[in-house]
Amino acid sequence: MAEHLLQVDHLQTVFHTREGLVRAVDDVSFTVDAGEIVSIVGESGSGKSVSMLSVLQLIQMPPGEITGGKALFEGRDLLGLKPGGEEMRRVRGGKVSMIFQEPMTSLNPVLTVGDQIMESVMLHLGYGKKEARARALELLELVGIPDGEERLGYYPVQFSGGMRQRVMIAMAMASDPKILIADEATTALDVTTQEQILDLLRDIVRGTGTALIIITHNLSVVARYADRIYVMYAGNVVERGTAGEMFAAPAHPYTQGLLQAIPRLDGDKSRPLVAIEGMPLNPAKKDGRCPFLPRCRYAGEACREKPMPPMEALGPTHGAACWQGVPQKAGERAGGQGALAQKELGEELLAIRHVKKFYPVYKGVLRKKVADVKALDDVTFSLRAGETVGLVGESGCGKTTLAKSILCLHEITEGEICFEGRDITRLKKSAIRPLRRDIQFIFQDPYGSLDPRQTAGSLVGEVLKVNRLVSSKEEYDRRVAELFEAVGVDPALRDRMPHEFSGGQRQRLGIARALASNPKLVICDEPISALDVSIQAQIINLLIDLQKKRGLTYLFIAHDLSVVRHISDRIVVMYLGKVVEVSPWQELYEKPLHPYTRALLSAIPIPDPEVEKQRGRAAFSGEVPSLLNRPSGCVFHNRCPYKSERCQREAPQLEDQGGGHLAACFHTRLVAG
Amino acid sequence: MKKAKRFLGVLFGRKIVLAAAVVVVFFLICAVASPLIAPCEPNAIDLKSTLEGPSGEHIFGTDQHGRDLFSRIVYGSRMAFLIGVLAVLVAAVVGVAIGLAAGYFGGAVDSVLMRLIEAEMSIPGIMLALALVATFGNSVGMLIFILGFSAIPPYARMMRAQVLSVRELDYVAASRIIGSGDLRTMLRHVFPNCLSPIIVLMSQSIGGTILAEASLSYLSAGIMPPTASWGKMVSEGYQYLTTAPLFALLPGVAVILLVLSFNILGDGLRDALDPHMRGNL
Repeated sequence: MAEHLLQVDHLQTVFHTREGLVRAVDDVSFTVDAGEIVSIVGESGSGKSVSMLSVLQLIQMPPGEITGGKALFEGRDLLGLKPGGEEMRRVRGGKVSMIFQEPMTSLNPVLTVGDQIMESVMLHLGYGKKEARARALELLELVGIPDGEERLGYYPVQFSGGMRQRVMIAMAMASDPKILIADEATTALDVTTQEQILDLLRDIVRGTGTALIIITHNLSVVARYADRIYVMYAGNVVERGTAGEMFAAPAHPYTQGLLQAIPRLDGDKSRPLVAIEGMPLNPAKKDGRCPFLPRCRYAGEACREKPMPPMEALGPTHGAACWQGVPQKAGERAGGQGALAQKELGEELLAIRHVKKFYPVYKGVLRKKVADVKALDDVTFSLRAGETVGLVGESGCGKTTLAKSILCLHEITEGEICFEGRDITRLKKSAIRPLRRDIQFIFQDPYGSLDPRQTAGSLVGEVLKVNRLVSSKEEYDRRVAELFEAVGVDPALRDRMPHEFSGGQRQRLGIARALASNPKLVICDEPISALDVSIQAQIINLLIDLQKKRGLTYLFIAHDLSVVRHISDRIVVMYLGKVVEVSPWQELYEKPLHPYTRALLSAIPIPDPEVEKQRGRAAFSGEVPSLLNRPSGCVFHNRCPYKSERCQREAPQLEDQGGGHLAACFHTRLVAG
Repeated sequence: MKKAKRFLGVLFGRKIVLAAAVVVVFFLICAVASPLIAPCEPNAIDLKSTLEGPSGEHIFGTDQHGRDLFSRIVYGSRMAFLIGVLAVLVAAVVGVAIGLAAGYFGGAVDSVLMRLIEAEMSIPGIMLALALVATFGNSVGMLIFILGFSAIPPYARMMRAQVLSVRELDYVAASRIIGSGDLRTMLRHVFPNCLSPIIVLMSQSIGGTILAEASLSYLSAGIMPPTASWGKMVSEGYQYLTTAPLFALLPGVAVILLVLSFNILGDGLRDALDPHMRGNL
């Protein structure tokens, strides 16, 4: 019977809520074999996590309820076991273990890392203290943490985010599990760290024969690591197949849409992102038909009349659930809005010159200043009117500090920021307020940035009132309605509260608010990183569209290089408070001159397993150090494969390498190859 | 109008909140229309019938001076509202204003205001009350001031803590970025989002204030006799608990009923003010 290690058949999980029955997992089947990397991909609310949690009976019951299906693990149905029973507990955490998203909160801060790993070992393997310690050492070695003997005595705060995630993996591996589940395990990490953790997980799987289930929203990650993939949408598995099949010939319209919607590093920029229109279906509103129907551009009569399509086999491993004979349309691509026209750039709008922002560190009873945290260290670049500059860097690089400085939310230590030729860093409060009309901001988090107690209309309209931009109630209403339409939200919804909108719609409201005062410069702080994949492309396209119509200038902040590629004219790369490279976008991707830029580029997986196999990967080690332990000389030298003795002594300056391509590195020739 | 309707819809959507509101309104009517409801003059002494049980003439019985208990409880509701509610309001308004300013501006403003609050906390409430009463006499207005004043610190501290966390949220930064001044940001975006725990604290401290008035009365610094007040009645009545249990029990029940109702109403109010609840009804 049991041919597979884990075989889930027709799993059904519902939640009883005030709005009625929510079918979170609706007839889901999948299999996992030993030594295999299986990925379950889907957006928020697609049921990917709930499926796994149901198998382990970890969902809250009530309101949750598993109403049907089987989950055969080593031939035994897990759903038949008592949720809190002895046997279930032995499976959970023992034979099947999990790693979660937040490495910062999933370790107990008052116990040493060694204690926590050993506890896990003693609990699951019944070892004594001495053996457990030996095993813990082995585990640390397994997850690539050197000096295990010493590190066992460390507390979680002494580890960086990536290191903590390694510790989590060590704990998960403590019991020699048959299956390891990684639930968005790398989403919260920096790009370069994410790559290291995934590489580590793959090596562990290859080495131990443990099966790995990667639950993620990130299709690109999957392309590089997964053997087989299940794509979920609104509680259903809509397509399954090997990574090769899925990326070469996506069969379900949703998978196809996703692949066109994600920004990728290869391919040309003139290919605009093709957004999947509409919003993900709320699982509470399922009506038994294909859940993708409202957003599907191939939907036909059959889809509207027949119930949910069954999974149809297209090959031994490939299958899709769609009523429209799938394979024919696989090659087809919807036309986009055409190539991006060459932009006419205006005068210099914003000039950032030698900006430094230091935070003093005090120590001791007398609060003596002992050091400076250099959040921004001599940052210089400029934006011309109508231009989009992408600002890229990992956590701690100073990108948000810089945005705050431009917005005059705090004072800088040294340097000047000129807007339209005027230094704005030493203005009085009264002089800053008129400036706010011209410089606007779009937040990363569409949930935290809208006051929950104001209606959508007043959030957008407040700008007009505060700056006295309208003279009458009628004009106010008209302007607010215009703004809603400009960002694609129905003006009739202006009396709704923010929480009644979806994430994508809330981000649109945030954009409407930023546009209300007709600004010249808009700073976008990772405006899409908190959104679902299928929504991201909509927002990017909206921003591009608005720039064309309104002649906006964007400073677009992002933590990876794939997103900025589709919107930027020039790109600035920052590392630990310093600008390391400035370049026209095309050159940066074709010929990166700074080793850090290369590291960033190589860390981003391309959603195509074939391309992935041929890509050379740069070998970079370590993580972004804390700003308090800045390396001397070149800030990147401790992670750089090109470093020489000079790099440790002397800090390279940003120098023009020709054609407006600037880089701060002594070895640009070496890097360029 | 739609907003008001939705608000009331959520507020009274739960039956228990409606019941609590009815109780509060009932006591409010008692307070306003005491002479119309009370069958007897509350301070009329009848030494022939002291500490009697319920009868046709005195439905709740009488106290140690033969005064009608029912009438005194009805008149006592006046003091409960005047002192309990007003003192809490005074404390909340002043405390919230101080906490808001201290939390929002931080720095020197914060240090000065919070040191003042701590200074106030270090003075024992009863000592302060006795000193003030000795100096200025004990009018009802004075009592409201004393009880209100000594209840300021928890409001100020709670508000400050709330503001400190709300101040860091993106939408507060957003308000500054679109050009709002401090006052607008503070009142429109910070203040409403800090209010929930304050409402709960207010509804809970009404009972405490009524009882605090009783302890002041015990030290002859409270309401001047013979004016009826629930707290004073409880403190007098407990001496006769074995002989005339209703004397202490009934005003106590009145206090409990009113306090409980205010608590439930406070909870309901907090929910009704929560935007998440508003969308769902």
